[in-house]
Amino acid sequence: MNEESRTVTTIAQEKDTLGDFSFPEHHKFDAGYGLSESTIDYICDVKGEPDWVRAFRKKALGIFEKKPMPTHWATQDLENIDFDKIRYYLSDGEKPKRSWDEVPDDVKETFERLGIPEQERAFLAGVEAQFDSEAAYSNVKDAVAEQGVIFVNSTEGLKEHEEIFRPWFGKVIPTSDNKFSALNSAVFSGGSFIYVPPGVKVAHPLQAYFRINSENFGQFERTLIIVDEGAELTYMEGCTAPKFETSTLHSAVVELVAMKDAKLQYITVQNWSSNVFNLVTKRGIAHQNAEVRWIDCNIGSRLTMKYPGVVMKEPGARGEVVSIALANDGQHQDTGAKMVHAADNTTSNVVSKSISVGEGRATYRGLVQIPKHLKGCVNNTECDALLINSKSKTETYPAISVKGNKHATQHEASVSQVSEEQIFYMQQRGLSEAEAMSLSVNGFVNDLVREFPMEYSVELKRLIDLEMEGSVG
Amino acid sequence: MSLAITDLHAEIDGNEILKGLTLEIPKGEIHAIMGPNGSGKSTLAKVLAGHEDYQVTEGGVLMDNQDLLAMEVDERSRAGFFLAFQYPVEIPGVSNANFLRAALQARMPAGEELDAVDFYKEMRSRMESLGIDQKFTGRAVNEGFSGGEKKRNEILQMTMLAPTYAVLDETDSGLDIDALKVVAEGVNAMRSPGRGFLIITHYQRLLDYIVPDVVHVMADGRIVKTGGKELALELEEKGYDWVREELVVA
Amino acid sequence: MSVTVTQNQSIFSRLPQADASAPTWLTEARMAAWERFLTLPMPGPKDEPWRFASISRMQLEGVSAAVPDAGAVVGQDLPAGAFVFSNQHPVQVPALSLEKGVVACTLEDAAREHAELLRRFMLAQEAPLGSEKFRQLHAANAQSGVLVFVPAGVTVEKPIVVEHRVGEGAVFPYTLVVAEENSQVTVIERIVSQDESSAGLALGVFDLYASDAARIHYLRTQDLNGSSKSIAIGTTLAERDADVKSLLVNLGGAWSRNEHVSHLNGEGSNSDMLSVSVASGDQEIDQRTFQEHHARNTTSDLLFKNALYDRARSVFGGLIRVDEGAHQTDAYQTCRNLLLSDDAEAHSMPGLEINADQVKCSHGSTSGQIEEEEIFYLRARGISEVQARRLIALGYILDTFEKITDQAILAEATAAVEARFNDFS
Repeated sequence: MNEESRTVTTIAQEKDTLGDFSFPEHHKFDAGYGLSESTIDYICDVKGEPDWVRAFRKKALGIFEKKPMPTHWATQDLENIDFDKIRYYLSDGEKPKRSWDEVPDDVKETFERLGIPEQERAFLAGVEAQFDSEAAYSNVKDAVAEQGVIFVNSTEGLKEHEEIFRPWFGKVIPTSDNKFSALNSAVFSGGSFIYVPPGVKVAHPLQAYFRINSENFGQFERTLIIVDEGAELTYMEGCTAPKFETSTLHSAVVELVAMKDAKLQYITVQNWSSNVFNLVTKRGIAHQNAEVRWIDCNIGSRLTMKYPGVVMKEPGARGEVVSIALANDGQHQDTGAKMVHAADNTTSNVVSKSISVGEGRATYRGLVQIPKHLKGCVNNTECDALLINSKSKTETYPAISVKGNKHATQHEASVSQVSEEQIFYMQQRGLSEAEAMSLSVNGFVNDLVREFPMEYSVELKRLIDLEMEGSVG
Repeated sequence: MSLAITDLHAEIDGNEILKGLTLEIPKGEIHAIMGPNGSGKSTLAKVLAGHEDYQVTEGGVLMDNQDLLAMEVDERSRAGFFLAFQYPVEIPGVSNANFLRAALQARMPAGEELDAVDFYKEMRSRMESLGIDQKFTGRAVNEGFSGGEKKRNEILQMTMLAPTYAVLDETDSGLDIDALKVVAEGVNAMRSPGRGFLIITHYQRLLDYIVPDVVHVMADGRIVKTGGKELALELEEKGYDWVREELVVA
Repeated sequence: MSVTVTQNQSIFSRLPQADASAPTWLTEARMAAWERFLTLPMPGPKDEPWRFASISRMQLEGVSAAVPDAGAVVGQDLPAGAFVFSNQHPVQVPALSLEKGVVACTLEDAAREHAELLRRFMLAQEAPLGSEKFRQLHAANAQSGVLVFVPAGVTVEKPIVVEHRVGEGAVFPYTLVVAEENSQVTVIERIVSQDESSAGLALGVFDLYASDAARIHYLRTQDLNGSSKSIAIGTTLAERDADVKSLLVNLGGAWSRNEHVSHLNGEGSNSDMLSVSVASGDQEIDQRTFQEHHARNTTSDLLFKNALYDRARSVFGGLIRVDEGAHQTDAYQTCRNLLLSDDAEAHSMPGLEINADQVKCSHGSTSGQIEEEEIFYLRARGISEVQARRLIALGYILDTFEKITDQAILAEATAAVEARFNDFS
C-alpha cells in the first residue's frame, strides 16, 4: 500500500464553519469505500466474528438495499447521502493521527470555554487515538464486575456472552425497522454491551465517556443493554464538546431491555459538527412494572433524526423521553419520541423542548399508540419550541392513536419567542443582549437540564451561552 | 454631580412626545415628576433607559458628566442607572435568584466571580425587609406575580443593584397602602448623598411616604412648573387643570 | 359533445355530462378538470395526507352518478325559504327578498351570470390536503349548488339555507360564498339522504371568500344515512380584517372525509374553524385541516370535538403553518376525542410549522373517557346510567358551540346534535 492509498481526505465540506474540518487519516484496517458483501466479509474476518453474525449482517445488507429512503415523510436532504463515498469500517487498531497544531484556534477556544478537561481535549479533537482514561474505565469495569455486571464492547459481548446477548440482539429493533437500522445491522462496530443481573442496583452511572476509544465514537455503533429483574442502571454517552467528525454519516442502533421491576435510564449528550448526518434508532422494551427513560440532548449536526421509543410490553410498565434539541444555522434537528402501549396500565411521558437559532430548524415527531382492548393506559406529551431569530423554524408532527374507552392521552405543544420587551428589561438591569438571551434560553430548558448529571448540566449551560452569542445584534 | 436632562426631544413612530424637557437631579436629592396621563412621563423613563422604540431628536442627558444617550441599554444600567418599570415583564423560566446573580455578575470585573454565599445572604435579608416571601427566589421573574409583588420585586432589584440614579415609573400605581409603605421604606432606606431619585407618579399619595426635595409638573412633553414638596399637595387639591389654566394665563 | 352516456357508469370512467344549458367555457373547463382527474394518482396508504385513513372503505370507483329525479321528493315537505336539490336536481329555488345587490342563485344561473366567480373559485382553488384528484372530479361534474354574493357594505339579515338530498349514486354539491368589503352573511348547508337506505355519495366543495373586513358565518351539517359516504373539500380565504367562522357538523354516513383549508391572506384576518362529530356503529370520520397564515397579525382558532361510540373511528390531521413574514400571528388548534366504547378509535395528528417571529401558537389533542365519578354524581340525582352517559357526551359536544355568535347556526347545529344523541337514549 502506498502512502496515497492510505490517506483519506474525504468529505465535501458544505460550509467552513466551526467544526467542519478534515484531516488526513491513517488506518491499519480499512474496508475501503462503498458497501457490498465483501465489505461485510472483511469486517467479520477482521473482527473474528462467529458465522451467525456474518449471516445476520448479510441479511441486513439485503434489507438495507431494498428499503427506500423515508423521504415521503422525512426531509429530502437524506437524498444527499452518497453511500458509495462512505467507508464502512475503520478498525480500532489504528487511530487517525493529527497534531494539536492542526486543530483550528476557534475549536481550541470552544474547548476552553466549555471547560473540557485538558486531557480530553486532544482526544476530542482527534489528536489522540486513545483518551487517557482507560484506567478509569478499567476501575469502573472491575468495580461493577464484582456485582456480576458485564460491561464490554459489543464485539466482545456477542463473542463472549452469546447466551445473553443473542436472544435480545435485533429483537428490540428489528433489522427491517428502517433503512438505517438495516445499515447499522450490516456494518455495526463498537458500542457497548451491558448486562445487570437480577436485583443489582448499579450505584453510579456507567459512562461511555470514560472509556472513549474509536469504537465507541464510531460511525455505526451498536449498543445492547439488558437490566434483569429488579435491577437498576443509568448509562451515559457523549459529551457537550463538539465532536469533530470527518465521516459524514453516523448511524447507531441502541437496544434497551428492562425486565420485570427493572429501571433503566439512558442519557445522551451529543454535539455534532454541522456536516454530519446523525440517523439513530433507539428503542427500549419495558416489562412488568419496569421503567425505561431516555434523556437526550441533541446539538449540532446537519441533520439528526432520532426518535427514542419505549415498548411497554407488560402491565405497569413506564416509558419516558425527555429531550432537548438545539438547531443553529444549517442544522436540522428532527427528533421526537415513540411510545407503544402494549399492555394494561402502562404510562408514558414525553417532554421535548427545542430551540431554533439563526436559520436552524427543529422538528418534533411523536408517535403514541394505544391499541385495542387494553385498559388504563396514559400518555402525556408536552413539546415546546423556542424561536430565537426571525428566520428560525420549528415544526411539530405528533400522531396519537387511541383505541378504547379506558385510557387518557394528552398532547400539548407551544411555540414561543423571547420578546423584545423581555430583553429590554434584562438589559436595563445590566445584562448584555447576548447574556439576556442566554439567560432566557437556559430558563426555557432549565427544568429538563436538571435531569442531566451535574457536570453535564454545567457544560450544557455554557454551551447554550456559546450558541447564543452569534444570534443577537 | 447630577443626572442632567437638557432640552430633550423624543418621538415614537414620528409623533413627538417629549418636546424640550429640561431637568437636573443632583446627587442626594429626590425629585418627583407629576402630571396628567399622556403628558409623557413614562416616555421620559423609557428614553432614559434607552428603549429602541423611541428616537431622541434633540437635546441630551448627562449622568455624572457621561453621555447617557450614547450608551447601550445595559451599559447605562452598569454605569449606575436604574429604572423601576411601570409594567415589569414576565420572564418565564428565569428565576429571580438567577436573574439577580446574572445582573450582579455583569457588574464584576472580567474574571471575577460573584460569591454565591454572600449573594444569597444579602438577597434573603433584603427580601425580608421588603416583606417578600423567600420562595420567590426560585420563581421565574415576575411570572404569576400580583401587581404588588411585581412592584416589590422592582424595589428588591433596585436595592440589590444599588444604582447611582434611579427612576421609579408609577411604582405606586395599583398598590394597596401596605405595599406602598413597603416600597417607600425601601426607597427611603436607600436615600443617600451619593444617590439621586426621580419618582414619576400620577398621585400625591406616594409622596406622603417618600418626601421629595423638588416636585416638577409635566404637561405636553415639558416641565411646566417646579416647586417644593408643597407643590404636590397643591396639585392634589386643585387638580391638573389648575396647572393647565395657569399655563394658559401665563 | 357527441358522446353517448350510460347513466349507471362509474364516476371514475364516465365523461362529465354535457349540460345543454351550460355555456361553452364551462363545458370546456369541465373537460379540462376531467383530464386532470384522470392524470392524478389515487391516494394510497403511504401518502402522508392519508395516514390512518381507511382507504379501502372509500370504494369510490364503483359509484355511479346519481340520476336527477324530482319525483323522489314529491309529497315531502320542503323547508320554507331553502334551496333544495334532490340528486342534483333543483326541486325548490326560493324567491328570497334579499338586500340590495345580494345574489343567491343556483350554480346553473351562476354559470351564465357570474362566470368570473366560478372561474376564480370553483375552478381555480386547490385541495392541498390529499383530495386534489377528487376536487377535479368535482369540478368536472358539479351541477348543483348555490352561489351567494354579497356586495360591499351589505349585511344579509337572514341566513341563506341550502339542502342537498342524496339518493342512490354520486352528487357533487358546490357552495360558493363571496362577501365583498365589510359585508356580512350567514350560510347554512345541509347534506342529507333521501331515505334510510339508498347508498349515496356526496362529493361536495365549499369555497368561502371574505374580502376586506367581511364576515362570513358558515354551517355545514352532514347527516347522511349509514349506507352513504361523504367527501367535503373546503376553502376559506380571508382578506384584510376579514372574519370567517365555520362549523362542520358530522353526524351520519358510513365513511366521510372533510378537508378544510383556511388561507389568512390579509393582515388582521381571522378564521375560526369548528367541527363536531358524533359517530357510532362502523362510522369513520376523517378530517384534515390547514391553517395557513400568509400575513401579519392574523389569527385562527380551530376546535374539533368527536364523540365515538361502538366501533367508530376518527382521524384528525391538522397543520398550522405560519409563513415567513407572518409575524404577530396567533394560531390555535385543538382536537378532543371522547371514546365511549372499548372498540372506538381516535387518531390525532396535530401539526405546527412556524417560520415567523413573535408568534403565539399552540396545539393540543386529548383522548379520554367519561369519568365514572361523573356518572355516579348524575345517578345520585336520579338519572339513569344510560341517560347520564348521553347527557355527559352531549354536553361534551355542545360545549364546542360556546364561541358561536350566529343564532341561526347555533340553533340549527344544537338541534341536529341533540337529535343525533337521541339515538343513544
